[in-house]
Amino acid sequence: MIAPIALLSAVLLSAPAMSDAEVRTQVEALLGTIDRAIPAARWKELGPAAVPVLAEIAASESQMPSTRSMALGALGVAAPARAETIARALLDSPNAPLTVRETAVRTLGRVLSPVQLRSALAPALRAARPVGLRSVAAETLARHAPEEACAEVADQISLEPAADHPRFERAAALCAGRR
Amino acid sequence: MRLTSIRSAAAALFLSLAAACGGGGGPTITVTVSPASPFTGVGQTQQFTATVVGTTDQTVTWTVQEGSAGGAISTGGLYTAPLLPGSFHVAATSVADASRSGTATVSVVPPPACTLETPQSSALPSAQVRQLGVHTVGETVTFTVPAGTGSVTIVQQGTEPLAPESVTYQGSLVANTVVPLTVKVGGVEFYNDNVDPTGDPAFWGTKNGIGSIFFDSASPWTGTMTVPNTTHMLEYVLDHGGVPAGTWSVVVNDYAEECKVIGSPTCVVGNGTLTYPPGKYDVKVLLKTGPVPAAGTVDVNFYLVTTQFTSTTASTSASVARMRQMLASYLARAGLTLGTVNFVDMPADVKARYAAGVNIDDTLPCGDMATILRMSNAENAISLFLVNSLVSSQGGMFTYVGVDGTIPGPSSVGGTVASGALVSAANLNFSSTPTSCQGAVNLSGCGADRTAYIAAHETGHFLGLYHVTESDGTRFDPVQDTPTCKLSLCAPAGKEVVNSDCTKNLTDPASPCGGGENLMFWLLNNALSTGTLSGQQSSILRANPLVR
Repeated sequence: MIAPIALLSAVLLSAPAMSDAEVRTQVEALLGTIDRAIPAARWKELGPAAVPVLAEIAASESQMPSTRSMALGALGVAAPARAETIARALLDSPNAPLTVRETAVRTLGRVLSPVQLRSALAPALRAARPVGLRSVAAETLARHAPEEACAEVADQISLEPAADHPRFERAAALCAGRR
Repeated sequence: MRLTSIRSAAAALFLSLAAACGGGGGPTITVTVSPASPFTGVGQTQQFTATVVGTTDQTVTWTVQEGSAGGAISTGGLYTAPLLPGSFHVAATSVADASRSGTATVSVVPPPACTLETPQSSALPSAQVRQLGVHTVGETVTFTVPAGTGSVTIVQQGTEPLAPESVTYQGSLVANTVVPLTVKVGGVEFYNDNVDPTGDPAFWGTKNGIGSIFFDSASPWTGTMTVPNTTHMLEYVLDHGGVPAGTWSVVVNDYAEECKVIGSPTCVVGNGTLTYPPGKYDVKVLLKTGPVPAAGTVDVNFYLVTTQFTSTTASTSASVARMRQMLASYLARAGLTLGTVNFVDMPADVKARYAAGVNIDDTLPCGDMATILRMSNAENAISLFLVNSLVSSQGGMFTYVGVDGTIPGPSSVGGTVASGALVSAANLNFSSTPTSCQGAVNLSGCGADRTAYIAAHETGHFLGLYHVTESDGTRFDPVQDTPTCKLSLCAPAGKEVVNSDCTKNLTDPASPCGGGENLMFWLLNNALSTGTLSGQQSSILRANPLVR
């Protein structure tokens, strides 16, 4: 039977007010999703009480890397300014898990204007370690600031070893308007 | 054979902008080419313009420095890229002073082209496989199921030219799912895709007809239906010593075909602007002799897309060993022994390409997910692809931890767009304290345990299990001995059901709110997810042809 997959957002349009404690419980529960997307609208609906919870989890070294990444991504929807601060800090934290730092780059792509993004990610594009972080910076710039940054992306790719070029295919394709 | 992605590893995309050379005497002429560093696809065109400063003569001559291998350019600056990717240089030379020129570097990227190679083969013994050939939607295929057959799996693989990826139904984009329109045995209809279950599908219908087979999956290009997957059919198998015997007739179908019948504007095939060919599918039937065994063994192939491990390091890693141990413990709850575990190294360019994450937004045959799943071999093993991370650029977050090709998966058939599941290895080496990965399962502090749970969950999907209760609290699996968790009974309106809403029956046996601790609940909760499996869920797992 043809039927659209029910979206959480459709169910949650009339979400009732929850206490701060209930919001915390719900945020922590939703970050346990395995293979279902939590729509952007849902994070917004949870309101301001969700913001410190997401921020706390995103920054916590005792949390699973994937959970921190989920929280940071959600924070980018719920509270862009707060997310920007945390994402910038994580991007510059060499001890943070790589997947969290990659999400920090992607979060900046969501919350910054193209001009701001170019400025924020240019150092990472040029010099971040390991190479995976540079490739995510390239992809994020190509996706969110193509006019401003594709020339620099191409420049950086030309400097990368050939063995790493597959890492940059997505960025290159985005700059070519192909993805 | 397999769907072949033609995506060159070459991504040499270089940029340079050469300024004009200097000269002596008179005003200096400079030539600038714009755009300075464009990207374009093979065979595509790109318009260049030249600006000449220092003379009134603006005319230039255009050349490609690499000659015809680098493409062609017209006298008006219209560049046509060659058919091979690479980095090439376009030069504009001043007519007023031929010593003055400017150049741009054009990066020519490869096309994301795919060719579907169907059919992919099954690794099961030929006696268990019925090859029914390629059929267009609407056609009926028949095959005979002997008495005492424990399970039947119908695998439909799309052929070129491909049917559309999606249909637009009541304004919503829906995957063009491949699913039989009807399944009949001896004239009795056991499945009809146009008859939707009402209420809990576990209790809907009968064991001798509609309601005995369930399907609810997004599954473009490759669709699989494994019987039994409901309580009704499990009871039928118990009563008769196997699934319905006799002549099965299956109408080949996809949602695009159903959409044509529904008609516009309620349903539109694709985006409504293009004409698509009708779906043509290779149909293969896998049989497993019955009855459903009380125990079994399942083998697992871990394909290492992740850059964290090679097959050598994986076989000696304490984290991986812990993950295996925990995966085995979850499977044991269904009477399954984790058998042979293989670690398969993916090529270096594949590891590099997906090192920064597998994008799950694009479900096209050339998309990340399908491209990876198509790398699975035809083997009698679950194909689990360990990836660094699963990412999405849409929705409310970027990160996912597991995703299955389809429910159920095409067991034993490798190389299709749905031949396996992807599991994030982002947590695999994580340990919140030095002792977090010692002793009992620790889903909050031991990444190997969490990864094992997710791998077991996706394995459950691949072998035919649905979420016991979906997030909206209105949709349930077709299994009667898994508790449900109705939103209307278990959680405040306007909120999704979460584990804590759905474990109330553990302290109050009279509560109708259960299933939150089940392996197939849609959420993982550090404290509440014990990974239980019911007796009937376990039977469905053991009935799958991958279980030996």
